[in-house]
Amino acid sequence: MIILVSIVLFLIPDEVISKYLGGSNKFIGVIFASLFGSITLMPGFIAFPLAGILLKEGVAYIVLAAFTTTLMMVGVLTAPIEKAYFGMKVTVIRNVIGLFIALFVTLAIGVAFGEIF
Amino acid sequence: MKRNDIIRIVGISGYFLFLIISLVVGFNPGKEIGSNFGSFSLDMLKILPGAFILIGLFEVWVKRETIEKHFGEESGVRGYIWAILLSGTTVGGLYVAFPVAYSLYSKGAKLSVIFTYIGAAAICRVPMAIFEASFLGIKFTAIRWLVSLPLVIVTSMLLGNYLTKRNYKLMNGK
Repeated sequence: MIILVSIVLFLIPDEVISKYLGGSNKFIGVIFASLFGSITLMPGFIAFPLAGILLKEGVAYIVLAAFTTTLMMVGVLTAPIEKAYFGMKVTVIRNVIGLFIALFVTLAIGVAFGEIF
Repeated sequence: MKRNDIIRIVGISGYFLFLIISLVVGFNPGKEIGSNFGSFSLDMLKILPGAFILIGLFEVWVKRETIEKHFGEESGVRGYIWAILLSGTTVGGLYVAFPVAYSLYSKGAKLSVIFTYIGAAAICRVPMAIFEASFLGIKFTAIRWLVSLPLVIVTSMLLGNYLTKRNYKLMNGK
């Protein structure tokens, strides 16, 4: 699993993340952010400084919310570990629920920071 | 030896061979992958042994009745509060939360409580939140907690009840 993480983190370097997330279209940014966040697994000490940099570069709060929340709640790479403890079905259900919660958080952040509506 | 094992061994040794050759030849992508691997392994090595020792002690020292009383069917609202407080102190990530949750369950904790624990461990670990607030602002973190915690509790209850009705039992871990 660590092997996979090390390769994925290389394939998706910081510049690529900021390029896709920092686009003018927030909607597309949120979708990319959720995708990156769900697939990758980053320790907080890498993820939050990265989010801080992105914020300074002008990435919207909703995009960052989608990124950090899916990063923490949805784990495609940790699924094998989760499966060993809870079984396939529960793993899938829990990750899907995590994705929905992340979307709600994203919406709430967007409203609170006046980025949508 | 099973076929899967052979594939795994070939894959892993190929990976390390690639890292070593990259280091020798100075192939940059390889070196970068190697340093990612190193920092992650170190991160896990720092956390996991301690976590598993604590889990082991927990299994031996904590009485089943205690867990049943505070996290089990009779616990009511308090079970969720305990689960959230406990998750706040969790270090590491989901890879630490899964074994802890499994061990709680095997001591008689309710399913919805352990799902609350996992969800809460993912979103509101205290050390991580402090880190987050310092980079993204307190408002961001506060909203994230306020919105996600109730959702985690509600979905955990639904999932727990659904699985209990289906007579779901956790299988034995690795």
